[in-house]
Amino acid sequence: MNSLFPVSLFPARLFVAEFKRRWSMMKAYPAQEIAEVIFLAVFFYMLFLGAKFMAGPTANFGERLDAIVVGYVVWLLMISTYSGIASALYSESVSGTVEQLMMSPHRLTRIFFARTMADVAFSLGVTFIVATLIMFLTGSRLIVSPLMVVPIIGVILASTGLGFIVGSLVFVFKQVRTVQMVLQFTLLFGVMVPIETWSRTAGLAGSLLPVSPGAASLRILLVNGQFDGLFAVLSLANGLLYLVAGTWLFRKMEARAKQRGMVGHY
Amino acid sequence: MVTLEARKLVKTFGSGARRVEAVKGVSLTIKEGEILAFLGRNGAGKTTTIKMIAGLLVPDAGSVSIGGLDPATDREVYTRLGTVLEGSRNLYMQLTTLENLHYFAALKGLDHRLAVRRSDELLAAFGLTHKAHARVRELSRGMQQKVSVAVSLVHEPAVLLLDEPTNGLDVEASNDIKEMLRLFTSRGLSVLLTTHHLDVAQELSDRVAVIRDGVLVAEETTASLIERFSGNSFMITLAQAAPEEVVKRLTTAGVLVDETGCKLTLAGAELDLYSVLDMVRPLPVLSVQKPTADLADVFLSIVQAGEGGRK
Repeated sequence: MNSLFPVSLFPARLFVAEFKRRWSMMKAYPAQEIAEVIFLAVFFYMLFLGAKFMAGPTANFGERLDAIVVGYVVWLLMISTYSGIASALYSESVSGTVEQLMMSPHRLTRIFFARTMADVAFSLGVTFIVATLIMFLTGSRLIVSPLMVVPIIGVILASTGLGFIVGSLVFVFKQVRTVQMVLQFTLLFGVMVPIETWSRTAGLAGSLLPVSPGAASLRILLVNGQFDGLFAVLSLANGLLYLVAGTWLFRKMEARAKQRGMVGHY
Repeated sequence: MVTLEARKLVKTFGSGARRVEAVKGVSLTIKEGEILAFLGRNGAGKTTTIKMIAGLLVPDAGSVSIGGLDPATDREVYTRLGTVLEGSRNLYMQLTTLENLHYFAALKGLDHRLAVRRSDELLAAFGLTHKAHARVRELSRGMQQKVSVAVSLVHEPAVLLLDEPTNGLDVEASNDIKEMLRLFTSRGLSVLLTTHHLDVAQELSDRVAVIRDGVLVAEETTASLIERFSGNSFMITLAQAAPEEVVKRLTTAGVLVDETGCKLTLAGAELDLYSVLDMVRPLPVLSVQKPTADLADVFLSIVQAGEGGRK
């Protein structure tokens, strides 16, 4: 009998496996995880007590506490999804496990996508628990619209797509840390550019920039309290566009590495 | 039933002056429950061939079929293939034995319940149950290799590619790996084994394939290959030294005579044993022995042939 969700369309099992792997890694390096949780707790504590500068300019989605917290968390997620794939591919190549990943019925792109989403879910879970605890301690309250989930999905998909583009370079250049840092400005530019203030035509054209419509949609929601349906849809389209482009390039470079015998040569 | 078939694999790296033909038309087949020892010196083309079979390297020409599926076009093939590459490159060192088994089982498409059952069975079979919750980095090299082999079998593959599985292992760990391979091949697993431990290859393999400079130069059953290379070899020990004119006749005929003039070696010479005995008549003969070659002798004879005896 055919499954309702064939593996190719719904790799839930892979997502669960990657989530468990992430949990196991946390247990393997508890000190590092505890340090990150403490940092997050101190960060939220300071933020809720009024130290808004803590979030830095990159997370600027508005002056309200809700906007600062959401902006900061989204920025962190974008950075981790953007850089995670290249870092994982490099470290797995050095340790040699990438060849085992390549010998799976799942494509490498699907494994890394599942891993990225598992990391996002894990980070969101930890952030939610820590933020809730600090809110309880400080008596602060965050009021956020559930509608912001749409642009957040858009920006995470787009930054994951950019992550695949950077990851594809690992097949060719092996060490891509410098390229990664340079391309991070693309992400920063995409977040900062205020396409929601541009004319309709320019705004639509600007929606092709990575994460821009998602960031614009979040700003409209967090600053003005309005949900812009067009930008929300554009953010999802933008996310899918970069994800498709990123995975396409990644597969091309993977095939090239297999053709030239460059897999696992580190 | 043939479970693995590689047909006329060709792979070339580089171009111009740096062009290297690594593999030149290699064909291999392995039947169900069979172990094929794939031997060759470093750089002969073993790893390139294995990587093409595993789908990690795209051949310039030729094709691979594992259970009827081609790794180049059908990823479903990986549900039928297990691979242990050389060195500590098959496991997450930070995870425990059980976590590795569960993760790689999911990667091969098993659901959690099946992964748990198979993992427990393999831990018991490999004597690793007491190490289920130990982190792999804390295990001995022998234990790590056993975990690697166990992980490669978690999805019950039809074919297992094993690259140097006993490298750096002590005798006990090496024996454990050999015992496991015998157990799983008796259940129908086909194994392509590369190793520099020719004693391991001789002990385990049903057939041997030898690759030299990217070309397959021998492929037959291990027993017949050893028999073939042992066939024409005899050692005759005389009770007294052969006179000079006899030594001259013997050496002209291709028989090796040692410096004492008492030990004669007849290896691959055109003369048969009785002709040599006629030549030494009436000198008293102490013994006639037919030494049996081992796979190491066979391997060296094959790889040195065509290289002008270069070592």
